[in-house]
Amino acid sequence: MTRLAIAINLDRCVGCHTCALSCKMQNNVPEGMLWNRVLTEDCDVMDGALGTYPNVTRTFLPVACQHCQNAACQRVCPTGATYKDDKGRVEIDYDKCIGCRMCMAACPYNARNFNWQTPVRVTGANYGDAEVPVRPKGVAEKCTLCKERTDRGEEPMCVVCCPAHARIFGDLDDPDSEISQTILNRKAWTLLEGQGTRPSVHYFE
Amino acid sequence: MVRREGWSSGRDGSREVWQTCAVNCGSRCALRLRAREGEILWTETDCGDEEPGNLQMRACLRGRALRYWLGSPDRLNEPLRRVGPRGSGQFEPISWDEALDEIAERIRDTVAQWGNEAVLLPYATAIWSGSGSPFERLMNCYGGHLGIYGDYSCMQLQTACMSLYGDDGYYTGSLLSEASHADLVVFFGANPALTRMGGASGAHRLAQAREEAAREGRPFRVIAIDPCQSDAATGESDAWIPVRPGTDAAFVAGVAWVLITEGLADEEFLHRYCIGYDGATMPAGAPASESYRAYVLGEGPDGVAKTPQWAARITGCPSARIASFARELAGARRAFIMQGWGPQRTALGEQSARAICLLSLLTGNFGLPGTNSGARERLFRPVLPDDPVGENPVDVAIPAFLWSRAVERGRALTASDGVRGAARLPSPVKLIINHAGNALTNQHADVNRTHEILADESLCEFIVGIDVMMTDSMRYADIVLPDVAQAERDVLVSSGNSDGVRGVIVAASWGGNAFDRRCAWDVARDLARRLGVEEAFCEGASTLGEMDGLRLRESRFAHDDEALRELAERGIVRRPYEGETVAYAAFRRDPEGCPLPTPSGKIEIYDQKIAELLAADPGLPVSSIPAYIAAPEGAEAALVGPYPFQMISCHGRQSAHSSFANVPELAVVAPRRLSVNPVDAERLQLVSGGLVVVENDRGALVCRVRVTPRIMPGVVALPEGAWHDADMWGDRLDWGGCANTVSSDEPTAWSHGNPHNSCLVRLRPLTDAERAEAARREAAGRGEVAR
Repeated sequence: MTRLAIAINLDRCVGCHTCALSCKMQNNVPEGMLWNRVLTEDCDVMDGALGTYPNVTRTFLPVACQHCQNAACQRVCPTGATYKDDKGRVEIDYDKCIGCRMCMAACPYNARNFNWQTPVRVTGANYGDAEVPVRPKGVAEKCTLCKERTDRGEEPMCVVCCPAHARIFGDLDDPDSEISQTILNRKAWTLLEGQGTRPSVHYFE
Repeated sequence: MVRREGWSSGRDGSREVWQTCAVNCGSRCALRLRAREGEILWTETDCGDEEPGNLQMRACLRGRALRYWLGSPDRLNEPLRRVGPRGSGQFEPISWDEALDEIAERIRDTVAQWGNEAVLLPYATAIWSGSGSPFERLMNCYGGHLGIYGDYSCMQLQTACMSLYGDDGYYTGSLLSEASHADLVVFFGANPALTRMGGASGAHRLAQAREEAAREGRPFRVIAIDPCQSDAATGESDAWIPVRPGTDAAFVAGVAWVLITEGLADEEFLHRYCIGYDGATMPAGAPASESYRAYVLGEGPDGVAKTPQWAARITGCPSARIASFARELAGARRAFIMQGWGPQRTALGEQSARAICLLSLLTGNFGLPGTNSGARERLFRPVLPDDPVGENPVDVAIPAFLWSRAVERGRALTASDGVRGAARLPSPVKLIINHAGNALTNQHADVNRTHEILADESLCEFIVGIDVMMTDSMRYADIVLPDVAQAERDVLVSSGNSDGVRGVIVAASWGGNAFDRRCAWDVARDLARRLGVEEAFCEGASTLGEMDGLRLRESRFAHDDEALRELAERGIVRRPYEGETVAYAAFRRDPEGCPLPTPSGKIEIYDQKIAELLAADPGLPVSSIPAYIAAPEGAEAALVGPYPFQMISCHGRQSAHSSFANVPELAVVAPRRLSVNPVDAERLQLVSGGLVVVENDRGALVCRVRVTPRIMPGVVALPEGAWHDADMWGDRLDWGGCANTVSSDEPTAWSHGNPHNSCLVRLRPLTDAERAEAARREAAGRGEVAR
């Protein structure tokens, strides 16, 4: 089996949001929407901090779809639009999506966006990778682990774009892959482990 | 599956080109664009091979947003002529011939009536590291223009380095990677994780240095001395020592008191390599009481001992913290001490900059592996020369920051104001050619005062603006010409001065000349023809392509056949940096054989030229040693005056100065916010995301607040670059949140530099009328308030 995943080195992340913008350019993400966000750990504002002045620390936390093995979004989807593919990615069949947004309520990572209106692309036309399907009004969308790129054998855009080289992409089912070795050696963890979602996206320091 | 809806033809008719993110951030990141008919469809960056020291020039979030920026509704598409009052932004379209005929006539008339010194090409950095301005070349062919020297980046630090080390410090610091050989890294007002985001630039190289040091079992600790917490010092083992803006020299004096009185200063180093530290090292004729040691111990003219308690009152940093820092610094095997450009961008910035360097000297952390000079990390010389602009036949020049005074005061501007090449300005500035610059208002200072100067058509009689966007500065042009962006045209681009590699990119055009835009070179050449100097303008190279050929022949790859082949085949070539890695290592090894280019050949803690100036005018706010001098808008004044907050205008992620600041997509991920400490926020009842008015005697602006413990109480920080947006014939309240609405244009006494971080303000809630206006703007999605 193949289980594609990303591991993120939080010591390297400088919070520049390049992953957010390059994901947007790759995937034709509409105005006002992000598939990939950079949060600050334990803070409710962007670019926040922990502690009391002047004893303050701060860790950035890039969050997108966690591509869970036990994906809550998939379990609640009434039409099978959200599915787990043969490479371990959580994907959406936009033709089957009826816009009920059960998946959005179920996802504990707030990874999904919904096209409430006909999506607006800044400067007026579609852009991004030509293979990426265009999402219409009324469907949910989220990180696809750059399905089109990874199908071609390329790495996801957020991995190759990161100026800090904070991301590793690979196959969790291959014990010798860089990502599997890193997760093992750097004691990587996943977000909200108690939810039982078993995410594929890992974090380490 | 829904596919390609709205794509008229997929990728048909599109093509892939190399380009660069060509704005003034220090980097020059490679962009791989797929574009069609002037529209970017897809963006990728440098994905070439990487090896140690040869990092990919990966673009940051701004480069990735190039589509949104260059496709902005603010884009200039046709020549315009002003119809309303100057600065009103009222224009009518005109033809290129009309525009160029009028400009040529005005240049001819101005030169005839006032002389070439009346023509100014002000400080402008939006086209940078790719070319000199063709308009500078034009004016040099037409008898010259009033010169400018220095910059808005680091005038005071350059002066400080010149005084201490005999060079401007740009290319003489240590590499950031040298920090991996230190056990303590001290940053004064430096934030490479934010200001140097490009893949080959500081953020990544610092992270690599950290990992290398940790791998070798000697992780270093970062201490950031800064009014706001540096992103480079947010780790568990790091420390942040907050000090009030502009008080770095007082902090250093307090540290020096501990080092000296506890016998921790490296006196052997100071005696061998420096002059001015103590009585034994003073130049002939200078009294021992004027040495730095005497100043610190209270044996100088002021008789005040610079104890940590003294420094604590000024800096706002507890004395115990100053003392513990001094001891930690002295105990470090190797300390890498570095400053950013924030501390020096103050009214007494030369003193701050020199004092920070002094910490390297007092502890002997100088010229050795793992150390730095205390100045900024080393910048990198471009691989290619700029487009040659020729020699300026006019040898009169003014400091870059003083252009508005040259317009306002004309011949009253003298050598003591920094005029070079003449005792006074031979002529007032009567004509401005502003190419790719937003420093007429937005990125200059005191926008409201500068507006008065520019709006008075009896002062500067004609302004030409050439740019890609209708910036606030362009609104003051009498004729506006739409340029093709550097990221849209054929040009050879060198890696930037903060990129730790040697790179060249063959950038190719992709349709930016859409609408009625024209490339600045062709425009300048047309003007040259009208002015009868086309032959001189085209000497050596009549097209930009020929010019690039010349530049490549003069580049550092000129004799490297393999690199040239790679460049021809791939359109990009990148090599590791080669050269010195430690600041002043040769001088440290052999101070007699490799003296510094200072008058004494040593490090000059005591500046004799300043001592002479002071002897002539004791009232000058300068000092021959790196002593602390209180600024009129400094920490002390904030405590007693009507404006209790010190405001610093730092860099942000959302824009490179004002470039990209109009891109809503970037504001989504990095909204521009005024950082306010929770203590101040509670007292003023401010909440994160709420609106506030920032004001002083110079003006008032509206911005949104971020309540954060990452800033000192009594200090607020607003990222600079926001686009000024005010009714200049009404209340002048700046809804754009441009930091320079409230900043001062009073130049520093020593180097005539820009003091943007010496700025006192107060915060107040919006009035009911202002709140209603804010709601209107928000509903309309207009400007900064809506972000």
